[in-house]
Amino acid sequence: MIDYQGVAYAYSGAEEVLRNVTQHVNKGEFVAVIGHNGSGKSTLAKLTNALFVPTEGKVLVDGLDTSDKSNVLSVRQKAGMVFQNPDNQMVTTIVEEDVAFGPENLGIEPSEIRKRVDSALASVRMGKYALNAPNNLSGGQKQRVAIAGILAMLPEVIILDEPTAMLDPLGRKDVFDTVRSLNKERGITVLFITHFMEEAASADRVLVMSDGEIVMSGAPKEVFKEEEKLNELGLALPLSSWLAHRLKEAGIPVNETTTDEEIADELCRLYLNT
Amino acid sequence: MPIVLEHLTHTYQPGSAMQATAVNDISLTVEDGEFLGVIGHTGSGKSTMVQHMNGLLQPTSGRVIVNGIDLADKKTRRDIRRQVGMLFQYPEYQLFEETVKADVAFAPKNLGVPAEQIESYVRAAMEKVGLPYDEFAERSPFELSGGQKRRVALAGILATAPSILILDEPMAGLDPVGREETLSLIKQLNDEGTTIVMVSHSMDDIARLADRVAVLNMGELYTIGTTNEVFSHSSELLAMSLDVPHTARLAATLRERGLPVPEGIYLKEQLRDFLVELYSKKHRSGDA
Repeated sequence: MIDYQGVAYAYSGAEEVLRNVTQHVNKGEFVAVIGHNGSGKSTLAKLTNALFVPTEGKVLVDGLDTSDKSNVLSVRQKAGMVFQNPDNQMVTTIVEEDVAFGPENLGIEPSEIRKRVDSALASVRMGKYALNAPNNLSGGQKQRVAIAGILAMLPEVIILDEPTAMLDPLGRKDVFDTVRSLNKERGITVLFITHFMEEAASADRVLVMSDGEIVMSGAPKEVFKEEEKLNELGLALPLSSWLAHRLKEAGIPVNETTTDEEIADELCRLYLNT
Repeated sequence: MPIVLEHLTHTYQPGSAMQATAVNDISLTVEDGEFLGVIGHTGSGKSTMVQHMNGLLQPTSGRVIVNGIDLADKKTRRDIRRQVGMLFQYPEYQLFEETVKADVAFAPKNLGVPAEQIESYVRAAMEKVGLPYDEFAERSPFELSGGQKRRVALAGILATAPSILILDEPMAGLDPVGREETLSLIKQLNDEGTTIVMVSHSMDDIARLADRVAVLNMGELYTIGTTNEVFSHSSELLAMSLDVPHTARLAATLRERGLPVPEGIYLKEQLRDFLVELYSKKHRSGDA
């Protein structure tokens, strides 16, 4: 679905902020991207929907080359982006108008827009807020409206750049679960940038970035197994992985885990023989 | 007794259709040198409550007394602002000067620190947050990283040498490195004697740092107690759909699944120690 072929990016005249990126993201895959600030995560996101075009190499979204100007609109329709600050993404004063903004700009029939808006708001469980003013919503609700705005474009890919960073724990869980279920139920490909390791632990695959390069890629279990390497990069482990490693050090034969459910299963197996 | 709230009530826009009581009859005392964590849902009144602690908001009823001074008195309120530093959410959005040193100097200048002393105040505050004066003083705050910007904002508050710090979500939005830096700085300030009141959604941060925790719910003080007491009642907090430290949540899950994990475990090291101990007991009895 997304192909990064030897991608590099530099702001004009400056040093490269991203380099040597060759990666393939499969259709329907949920990929989390972690790394410290300035590691190139946001640059990678912006390269994926043609907000940036590579200074070297190519990015293909569903086969479309993002550096070909005639592809830009189709790329943005296929790959929608949700940003960190929920307050910077609302353009109108009524929730449903906000969701309709994208398809209206594409010149889609009003009756079709109506259908898409209703269905998009229903998918993020915001249907009953259709006529509300966005500024009265909580941060998590605003992010769900932003996601609905992307869904109304019928995307293949959703890119989320730290969508939960400014939310409280309930809002964070709400947004994450919404995105995870859109991925599972509709097969939408997701690129999810986050600082929260617990979110990355539930992804299909984790990409770790450092100094503009992808330095690790693998299933959460493979990536979070590498505790020392992650610590060197200034990244912590999910609680589940941390606990599994400590127990293993104490001689307890626990398998690698990344989520709470997995460590709970392991502990029940070891302590209760169930 | 640095901070005493007596029956503090705050109503926004009283008498209008939008009238809303954000804080209702809260009484509590923050002790000298203490680290008080404040938790509760978005909209539970946390920010409203702490904004009374340096006189930014005035109570609709009740009293706020800081270092023995009633903040209802306008004349003395200004002196209190030097003693009580307040860090808002996303303070880096409030940086505006051309150089780091000018930004840090803003508060002490405004609060009447004599001009010849300002540089030494600024220097001390910058060193304290780990931004060496000679390296950072002349730089633009806008070219720094997110974690560094936040430290500049914190230095601006420390520049008045406050004895009390009020922090509203100081770690929000930072990357893991920035979080750790900020957390250890706050811990260090507290170790050196600064009284800290910290509002946070991160129960894990509160669990690590706070001596006591105040839980707010719908504008009221639901409970206040030692960190241990409050997080020992994790199931109650969960029932209010409040978050608890991640370790406490996992411990609750394990209890439900039949493992004998006691209440009162809320730090990951505690859970590790308990599980290691339990395993060796089981192993010994298995051998016997």
